[in-house]
Amino acid sequence: MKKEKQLYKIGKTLGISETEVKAALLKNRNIIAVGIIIGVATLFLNRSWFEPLHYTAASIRDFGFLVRFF
Amino acid sequence: MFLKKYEPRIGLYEITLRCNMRCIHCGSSAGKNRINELTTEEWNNVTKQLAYLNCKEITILGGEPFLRKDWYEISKEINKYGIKITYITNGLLIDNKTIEKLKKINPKAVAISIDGAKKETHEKIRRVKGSYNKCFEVISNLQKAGINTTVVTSINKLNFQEIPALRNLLINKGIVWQLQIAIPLGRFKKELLLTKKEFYAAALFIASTRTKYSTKELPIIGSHCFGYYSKKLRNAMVFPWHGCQAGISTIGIQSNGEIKGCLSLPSELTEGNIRKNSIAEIWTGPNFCSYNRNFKQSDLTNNCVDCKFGKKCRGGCMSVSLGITGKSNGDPYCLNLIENSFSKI
Repeated sequence: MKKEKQLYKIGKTLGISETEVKAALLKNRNIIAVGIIIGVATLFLNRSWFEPLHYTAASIRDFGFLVRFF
Repeated sequence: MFLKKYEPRIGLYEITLRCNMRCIHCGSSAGKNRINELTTEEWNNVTKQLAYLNCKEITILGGEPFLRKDWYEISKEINKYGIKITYITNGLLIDNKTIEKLKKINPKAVAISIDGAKKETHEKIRRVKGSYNKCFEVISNLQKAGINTTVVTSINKLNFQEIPALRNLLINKGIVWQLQIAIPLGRFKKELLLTKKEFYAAALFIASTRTKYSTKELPIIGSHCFGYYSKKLRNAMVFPWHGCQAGISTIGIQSNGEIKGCLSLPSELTEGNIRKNSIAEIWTGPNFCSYNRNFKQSDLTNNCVDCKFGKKCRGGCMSVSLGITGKSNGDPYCLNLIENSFSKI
């Protein structure tokens, strides 16, 4: 709880409300969804999809639907 | 089904160091061209070699890449091999003619830098008057032409507070927004670097924006510096971090032919020159990017020593680590690290 209060305080510096902070917190369902998606993708898809994100963020378009679970 | 361990699937071309801006945060101190920059033929030869090595995507950047008159020829050659292209540009030179050519190239994305919600802030950082309006005009023209557009924002102390206002300007425009922190390399002064608390707030902002807005309204992503292994936040980088990719899946080629694992790295980490050896020779060399390929847990520095994620993470982004601390494999701007010291920040 103490840590969450600190998060609310940090969020305030950019005008992020407590509700928005709560929504941005990592939940078990996010971890499970990411695990399944990445696991399947690593086995069956081209891994390069994960890698170029830091230059132009172009690959986020490939994952439009899935990104909401991440 | 499984890919090779080391394969230059992502290529970064600094086709010139010449630039028509003098941004205060430029990590390459771009301005004048390098001595003896590669010719069109040499770049095309680089592309041929990378295609042979199974390169899947090439990002063309600079300096300002559109200052080179042969950017289209270089891009066409990349297209010829079926490699995807993305561009990073300040947008100033993108007129209708350029857009027509870009349509023929069909890039995966054109990334334009916007560094403030206010005109004054953007132009103070990028040091060119009139550039703010021009950038938004170019973004709109690219969108009309059906070209995927990304806005890249480098956050520093001057524009940190404007991030929420900038979000309002980008929503529902079909733009992907990438946020990164400005690192004290090149021209960027350390006093403008975000504090750890501000950095964490920016990561929180990215995570909360992703939950607040759909990917149709505003796809948002933090770059490779927005990690790592947070126990609290949804991943700002979207995809899991498996360590710096320099020399693992990424290769950077400077305009003078020098090769590095990543273009963000300092010149001390130059691995060879394509004028002396082929890319395959350099890439398969026993010491190529040894800081990543031959990494050992004992290489970790700063607060990364003893971190349970150390082996996988390799101490975060190498250029951030070097830029901020002067040491490799110890990026202090780490969400996990900050969370562990929450009461102190």
